[in-house]
Amino acid sequence: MLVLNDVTKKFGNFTALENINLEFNHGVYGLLAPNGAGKTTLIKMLVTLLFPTKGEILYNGAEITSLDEEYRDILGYLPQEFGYYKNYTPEKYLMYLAALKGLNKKEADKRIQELLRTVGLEEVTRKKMKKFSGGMIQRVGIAQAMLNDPKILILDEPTAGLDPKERARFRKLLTHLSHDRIIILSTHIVSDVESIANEIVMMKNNTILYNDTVSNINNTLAGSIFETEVPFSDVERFRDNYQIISERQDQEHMTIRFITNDQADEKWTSVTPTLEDVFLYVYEDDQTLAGRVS
Amino acid sequence: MIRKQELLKLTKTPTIPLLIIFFAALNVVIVMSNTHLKKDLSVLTNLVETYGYEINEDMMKQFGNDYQEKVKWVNKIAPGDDKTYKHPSELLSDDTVRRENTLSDSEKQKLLKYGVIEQYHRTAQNIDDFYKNIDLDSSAESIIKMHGFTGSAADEVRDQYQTLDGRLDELIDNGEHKNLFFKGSLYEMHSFLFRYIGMALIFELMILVVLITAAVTNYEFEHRTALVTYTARRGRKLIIDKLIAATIANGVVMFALIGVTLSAFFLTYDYSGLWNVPISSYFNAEMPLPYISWWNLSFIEYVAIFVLLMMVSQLLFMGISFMLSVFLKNTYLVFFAFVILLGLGILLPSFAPMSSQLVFWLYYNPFAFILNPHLWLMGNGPFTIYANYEIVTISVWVFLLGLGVSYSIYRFHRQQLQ
Repeated sequence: MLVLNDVTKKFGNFTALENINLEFNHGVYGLLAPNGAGKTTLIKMLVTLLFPTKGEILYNGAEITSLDEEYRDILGYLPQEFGYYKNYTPEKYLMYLAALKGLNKKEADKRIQELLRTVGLEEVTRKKMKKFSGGMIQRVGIAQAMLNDPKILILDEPTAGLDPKERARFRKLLTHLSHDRIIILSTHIVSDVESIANEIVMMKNNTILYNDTVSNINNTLAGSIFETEVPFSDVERFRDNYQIISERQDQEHMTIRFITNDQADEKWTSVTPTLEDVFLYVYEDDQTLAGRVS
Repeated sequence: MIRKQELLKLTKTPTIPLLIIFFAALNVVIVMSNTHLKKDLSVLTNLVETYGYEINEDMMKQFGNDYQEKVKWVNKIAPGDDKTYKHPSELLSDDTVRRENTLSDSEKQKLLKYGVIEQYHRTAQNIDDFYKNIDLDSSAESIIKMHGFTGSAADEVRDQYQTLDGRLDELIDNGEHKNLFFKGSLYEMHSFLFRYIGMALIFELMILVVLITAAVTNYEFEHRTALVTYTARRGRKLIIDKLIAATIANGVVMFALIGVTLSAFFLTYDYSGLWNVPISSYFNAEMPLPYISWWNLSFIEYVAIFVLLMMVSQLLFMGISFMLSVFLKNTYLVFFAFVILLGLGILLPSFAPMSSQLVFWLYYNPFAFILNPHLWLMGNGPFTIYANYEIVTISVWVFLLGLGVSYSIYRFHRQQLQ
């Protein structure tokens, strides 16, 4: 079990994270927040790149920094910006990382072939990575994170650069892997985690806002999400009065999904809230999302 | 596997192999710049082959007899019977001979060769008188006046020259000065090898060592792979593998560049028969005051110690570069910071007052250390005259940088890696 107790991280006078308390058991955890909310800082502390200013991070009751190699031995990590040696082949690069992860050559050889097949790179194992697309590089990154068959797999924005087909394959892979390990998947894309995460951790204002199952989080907006058809001429007025979640332009009117606690109008249809609704509602005032909502 | 991979990364950095090739070629060009002396130098190697290098009564007698034969030949080929030449140089400087051009080419060549032999014969005859007249007290006073030493600094110079006087007596007793060697005042082979070629090697290796150490240490940060590599099981201990890989790479580069340069030198200039000549031989002298080594060292021993000191000084530069790399994480910044330190190390002693002992202490730094490699282990130059200057500088800095490198590794384990 991976536990964060009252973890605070400051950079000079800036507080990136404050009093974070979390517990991770087996399963997929979706760390969901817009860019700049502190997801990467939290992850970098979990992988021992950064150290908490206050508080402690424990794995099975022991401080992860004092566990040192023992902790990193069960850790797989894909950073947000996955760096690679452009003149290396994926096979050679993974072989080097396997050595750093303590695998001997024989087991590394076998594992690398297996993983490159899993991520669909078996055709290009000996091609230099400088010729790879962003998606292919990201798949090399996923493969390296799983080299040591980690008990804790931490993936920071892993689907960046992947096409829809690759995303689907990736989600399937994570579901398959999640039975006997902790998977922490940081993302700002709701669909990456909505269907596969056992729990969602949402962060706001440098702290944890929700840490619950998808359905429980969705239920926080139960009875407040509606859809209605609004004539084009009334759209502006409607926007001024309600918090819009999404808009779809049809031939003669606009179909608007919105949130309100007012008495329901007969023209409104109450709909089941989704994680996307919660996400857009929670981060409504967030500058990163401003462009998406309006 | 990890260290091998760290080394292999260097081969993917084209600048370093290209620089090695460039420096090796440059050194060969420098070595070749004195090939016009080869013919003259071979006169001495032939003399040593005939008489041995040790100057003693028997040797001088035989050398003298043969020399007289050469003088006879000079008089035989000289035009006209009215003048007798006591030395080949008299005929060489005779304008009549030059004007009338009566000598054949082979005679001229032989005469020139005899002129060189004359230099060695005359010098060999004058050694004892010269050493009797060396007055280190007055040398000390001239040095004090020249550099403007006052107070305790001036006393320190006097004391050191006094100590050197004792060593000079020992050197004379050992007869270290009375050995044939390439005549320094004519060919300056000591300076050529240990100063010009030596300095070129030292600065070239310095550039390579700084670049290699910084490139290996910073590789993950410069390729944005640090987040992956330092979170693997090996973790931040990888920095130790990098330090070992840098040491191996620097060692190989040092052996290669020094090897190529010295091989080119000794294949070009024939030192056969001279390997065991004491480095303090009077013939080696290039300045009014001859080289006085603090220990009785042969030429080959001096070369070996020179190479060793050169390599150890590079290890010091490696230590400095490693420390800078751990904190700066960028090869160009490390190189720039190193150049600033180099400048400080060289310039700082010149800011010290000439009345204080501080001026001597400030020379005990690795950058000032490499400025006069041809004087290493020699009692020459007022600032680094001390017999233990080299060993103290090296030992103190090996210790300090050992601590510094250990501290950097300790700090790196606790650094926040963004």
